[in-house]
Amino acid sequence: MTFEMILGILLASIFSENIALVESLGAGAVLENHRSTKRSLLLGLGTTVVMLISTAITWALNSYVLKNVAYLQTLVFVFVVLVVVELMYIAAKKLFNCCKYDFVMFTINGAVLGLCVQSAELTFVSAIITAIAVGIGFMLTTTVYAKLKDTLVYQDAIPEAFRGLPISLLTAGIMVLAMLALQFSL
Amino acid sequence: MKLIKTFAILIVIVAVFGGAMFALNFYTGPIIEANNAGAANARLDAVMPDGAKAYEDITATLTLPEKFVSPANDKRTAEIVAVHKETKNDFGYVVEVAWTSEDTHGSEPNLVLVGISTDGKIINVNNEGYHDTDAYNIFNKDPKYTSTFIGKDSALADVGTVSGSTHSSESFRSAVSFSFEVLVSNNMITAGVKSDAQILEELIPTVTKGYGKLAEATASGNIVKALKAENETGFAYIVTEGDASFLAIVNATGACAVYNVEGADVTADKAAIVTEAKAHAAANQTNYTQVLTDKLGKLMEGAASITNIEVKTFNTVASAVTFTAENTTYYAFLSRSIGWDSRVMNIYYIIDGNGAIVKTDADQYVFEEHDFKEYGGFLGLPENYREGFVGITGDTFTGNEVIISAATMSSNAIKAATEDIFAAFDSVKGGAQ
Amino acid sequence: MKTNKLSELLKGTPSLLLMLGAGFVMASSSNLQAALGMGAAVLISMLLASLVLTALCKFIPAYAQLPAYLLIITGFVSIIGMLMQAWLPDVANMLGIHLATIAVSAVIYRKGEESAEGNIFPINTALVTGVYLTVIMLVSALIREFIGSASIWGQPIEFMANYKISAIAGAFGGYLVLAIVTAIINKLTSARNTEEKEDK
Repeated sequence: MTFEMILGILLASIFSENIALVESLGAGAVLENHRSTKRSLLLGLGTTVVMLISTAITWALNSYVLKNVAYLQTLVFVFVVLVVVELMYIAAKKLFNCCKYDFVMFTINGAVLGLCVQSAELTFVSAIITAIAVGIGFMLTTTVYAKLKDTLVYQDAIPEAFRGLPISLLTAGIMVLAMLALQFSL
Repeated sequence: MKLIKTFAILIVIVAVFGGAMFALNFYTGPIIEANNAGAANARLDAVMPDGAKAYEDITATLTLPEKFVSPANDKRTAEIVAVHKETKNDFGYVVEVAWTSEDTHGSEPNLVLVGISTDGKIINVNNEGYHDTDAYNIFNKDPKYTSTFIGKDSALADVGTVSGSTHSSESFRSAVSFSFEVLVSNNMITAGVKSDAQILEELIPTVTKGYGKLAEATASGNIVKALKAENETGFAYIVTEGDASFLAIVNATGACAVYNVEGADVTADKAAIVTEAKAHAAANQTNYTQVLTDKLGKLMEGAASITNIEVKTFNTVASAVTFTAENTTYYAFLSRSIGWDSRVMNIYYIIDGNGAIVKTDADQYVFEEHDFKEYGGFLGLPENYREGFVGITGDTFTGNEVIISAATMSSNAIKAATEDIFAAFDSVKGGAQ
Repeated sequence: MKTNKLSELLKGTPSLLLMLGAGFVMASSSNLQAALGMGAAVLISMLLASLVLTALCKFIPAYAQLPAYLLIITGFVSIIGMLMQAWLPDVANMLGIHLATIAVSAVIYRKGEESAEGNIFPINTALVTGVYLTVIMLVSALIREFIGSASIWGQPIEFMANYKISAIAGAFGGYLVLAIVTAIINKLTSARNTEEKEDK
């Protein structure tokens, strides 16, 4: 695992292969996000931690336990994510004053499950680095999107039919265009 | 307590659904496995007939032939990668061949899959992974090219090349031909029988150099097939004498060589064939002596006693003369070498009696042409390019002196032209003249 | 009754559900086959889960309901995934990882939560939501496949071959087409609301 490979994984996961925008995994969580920029950043950070821990556990389970029962992968992975989030909530409740709903969002985020499934095919080190990179990408997307949404969504300049979800989708779509531009080699 | 109860409920749910999926897997598992195997075999299915198929990789059980390297150019190679036997219906074999040409870039070769039936005929051909120069992609230039192989045996009779992509298509054809090698050598199929004419035609690239794509010309008499070089520096004839066939090559200076189907030079014994071939060439060959003589007047002042000479090399040399200037004997050669986009360059060389280049010039180097700039972004010659040739002999010429990185195809053509005139000079000095 | 159900279809909660489920809606609406496959998978998994949830909601304590419901739905989605891989492998390959993410999609969570609160017609609302999402996916898929890939149901359309816009079939197209479709729904909804107000 060379530095170039690590950098490549980071850049791809954050920009050109962004899991929420480009791959549409967890796009719902991004679009539905009504939080302030600061809380969105914390949500992204929490998602990154969930991704990291879940990836580590699911990778090990997939490599050593689920070899002959691949059809159980989704069920077991979701179970692992649920357990991880539940334990994180218990730990976080004592340390921070946090909302249960935010932790629910970690569980029902397609990006977490999607990442676990994709990382199961990689080596352990690649999987961990990918989890961190994807988490950072998700955090960036959520935060930027929350900031954009605050300024854009309900302005009178937007036609009535486009207020709410449509303009949110278009905003996300333009962010996707920017990401896609980085996919083409020069 | 709540946490334990929650996990207990979750474990029960996982167990129930896990059990249900375990039971379902007895039913769906084999079907999914068959689907996955089918997907993996899709690339092999593409070169086999329709119908249910199963494959066995038999590569390890066979003696694979040595990697093929073309005598025409050592960058044209073919190597057997894998052999699969179709086992369900005994349709035949799929041979995977990795091939390269002088235009292949990068470290990966091209890969062709050839489906061959048990009676030794091609079912279909499919190329995966193309790494030759994209502008000359044979499958874009002629999408129907692979279909010309269907139904052919190992002789590949009447399968030609793609115009404008000679390097790649000749290499591709060689690769497909080579795919039969592993099956024939392991006695799995019978080799197709090539006709004498086909054998002789395949001999042409090994006994000539730089002729390019041959075009068919009007044949007559005992000449059953006449082929003209793309750069007009010679003719190749398939000539019959009784039941036997021979290959006669005549270059632009009038020299002739005759070969039999074994590839042996039989010129000395076939005077009649030599006469007939030379006569046909003289009637149809463009004479470049005047072109060379006219240029000579501009290259060297005081050139006199210009005498035509016949060179016994069959390459890009289109004309050769001797002349004197200031009481010194010189040799002048015109080479018509094919550069980028199949453009022919008239390149002139003056060599002294010791074989050193005194002067060189071209009517126009391809990379000086206006539209080359659109292709390579390069226009014009490096400084003192022509002067760089002065003093070079056949022994000291490495080729690197003439290569321009932004115009490799055309500068390789100049390199070939230079090698050819040195070969021509050697044949003149070493021969009777 | 019909008008009320149609109003419910076109406004409010289902639109919110679309936002939450936008991920798999956009991912599977690149062509009609994938859209139909995903729509069927969502509909069937929601119906089955709704049946089981309705039966079990009395036995599962409130604090364990969300994770329990998630796993039940995951189980049904996994079973549907196995059946698809066996009999519809092409569709299963097209959907890929997005089939699995139906399980954790918030849209399912929202419906599950409402079932736990004992809303009437949980099976009906599962049916309505599933059909609603399927129709959205099919409409988006039709537009994206026609304009983006110059084909319909995998069959190439000759006259569109030179005019196709590949970006529409890609990631950006998902957002763009879905935005337009939901804008049309908003427009229809506001027109219907205006009519209802005028009727009253």
